[in-house]
Amino acid sequence: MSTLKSLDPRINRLNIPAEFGTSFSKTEKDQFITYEVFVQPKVDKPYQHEGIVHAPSEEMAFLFAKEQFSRRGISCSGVWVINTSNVKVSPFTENQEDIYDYIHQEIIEEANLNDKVSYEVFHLMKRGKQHKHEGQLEARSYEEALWNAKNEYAGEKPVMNLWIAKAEDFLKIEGEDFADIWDTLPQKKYRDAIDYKATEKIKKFKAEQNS
Amino acid sequence: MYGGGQVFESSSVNNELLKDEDPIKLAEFEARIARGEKIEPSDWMPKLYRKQLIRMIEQHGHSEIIGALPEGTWITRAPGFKRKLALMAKVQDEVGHAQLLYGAAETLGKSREQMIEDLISGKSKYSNIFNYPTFTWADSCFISWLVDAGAIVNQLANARGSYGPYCRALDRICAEESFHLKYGHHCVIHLATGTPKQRKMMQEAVDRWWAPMMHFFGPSDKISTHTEILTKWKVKMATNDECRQQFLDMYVPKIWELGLTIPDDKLKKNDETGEWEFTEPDWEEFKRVINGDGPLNKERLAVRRTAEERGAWVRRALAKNSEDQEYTAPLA
Repeated sequence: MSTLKSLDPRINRLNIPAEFGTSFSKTEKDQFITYEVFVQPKVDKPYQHEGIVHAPSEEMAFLFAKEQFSRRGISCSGVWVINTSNVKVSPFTENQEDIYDYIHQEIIEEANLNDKVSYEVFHLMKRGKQHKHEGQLEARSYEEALWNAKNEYAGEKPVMNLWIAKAEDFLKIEGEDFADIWDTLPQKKYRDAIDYKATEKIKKFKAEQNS
Repeated sequence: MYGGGQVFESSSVNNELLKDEDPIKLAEFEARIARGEKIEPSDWMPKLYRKQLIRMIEQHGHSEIIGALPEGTWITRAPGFKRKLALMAKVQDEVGHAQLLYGAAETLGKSREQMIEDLISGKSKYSNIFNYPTFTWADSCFISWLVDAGAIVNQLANARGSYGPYCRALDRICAEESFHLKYGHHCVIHLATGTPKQRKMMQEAVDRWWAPMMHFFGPSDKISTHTEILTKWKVKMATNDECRQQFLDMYVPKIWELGLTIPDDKLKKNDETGEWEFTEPDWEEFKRVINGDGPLNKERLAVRRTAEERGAWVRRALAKNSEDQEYTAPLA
């Protein structure tokens, strides 16, 4: 069987067959499930939703999230990941209405109550922007958490969309123990546009051409 | 890195998709876009909007993955430690961009497995320019500077579009691209102002890459009823010609100031119209390469497939304890 000939010596070493045909199929969940990723850029800033990673476990999700969402930039003080299925999502409101106006006391009257646990609450203030962490509160069910969130966090500015999840469902990498993970960020200047100055070189070149 | 060429096909299938939409919902959807609000994944959207967005975002994602190959090949041979570090970081960024884009397309309902399948089986397209080989280090410098520059023109336009998850991914991508552009320019300046041999190498790269660069933005797209609706829905934010003109306007002077020549004797700016004039690119070649017959189409897909197949056992091993987990599409 003939192998693929490439300009790239690494590809030649792979001994790839020259012909493959076009059929190719993947099995379901070959790429795993998704985790939502929240990043805290600085200690005094709220966690913000940044996107997803596909991973087989939350530990792997953290490793991918760290590479994907915190390798650039000047600083990072924490990353949270959570299985997408564990986040409860409210509907979006229209016309600057506040989602909290739709949460009434009835919501807790029929809810099944369990032991009190902590919930994390995220707000979206404008379409197109990211969800930001608003705070943590205790409740005996998601419904009660929503009701408590209304009492705690409803304010003058309308909230368009709410995400709520149990604190225990997150993997949180943050605080003193993990601070050194992001220590080297300021050393990676070669990833910044500012590290590539060339104006002087162009000026000198032009001057030489004209002389 | 993605130029936006050949994304939208106008066909009767698309008109068919549009025909049976609920007029009230469609009017609300269009009013939201006209107000400048973003569309989010849980919103109602026309089937045609969903289809074209998936197609565009997916092609963009594939272009990032395949685009990492012609540059990646130069990592081991980059001249010096600093260039090696920078090129590794750039290639990592490109692959990261694909992750962001695939994530945005997933919010519209297409699974990542399906996207990878469609890439490897040749059903989905990616930017045509990555089907050309990088013979020398200077070729990789051309890509880092000018192909990225072209991609930024297209991506900045699309970042003002209507779909929230795509715009958020693009904002992040554009921020990272500024390093690519400066790094690439730095590399080209170094060669163009260097020894006669370096200058010659850079000039030869410009000669090789100019035609694919002009193809990068896609064929001229005259306004049709089809592009009209995608423009109204803020899926398509600038025409292929507008992007090409903007690129020429920003970068031809920068190429010329380095004493490099561009292999097109008709290339000049018309002072009256403010438009650049150039030799019409060979669109027959463009079509031929898009349809699989370029210098490296086969190699690019073979490499991608090999990585996929030879990595499968790792994914299977990792998935052992997570097989019963339920997949939920990304939230935003």
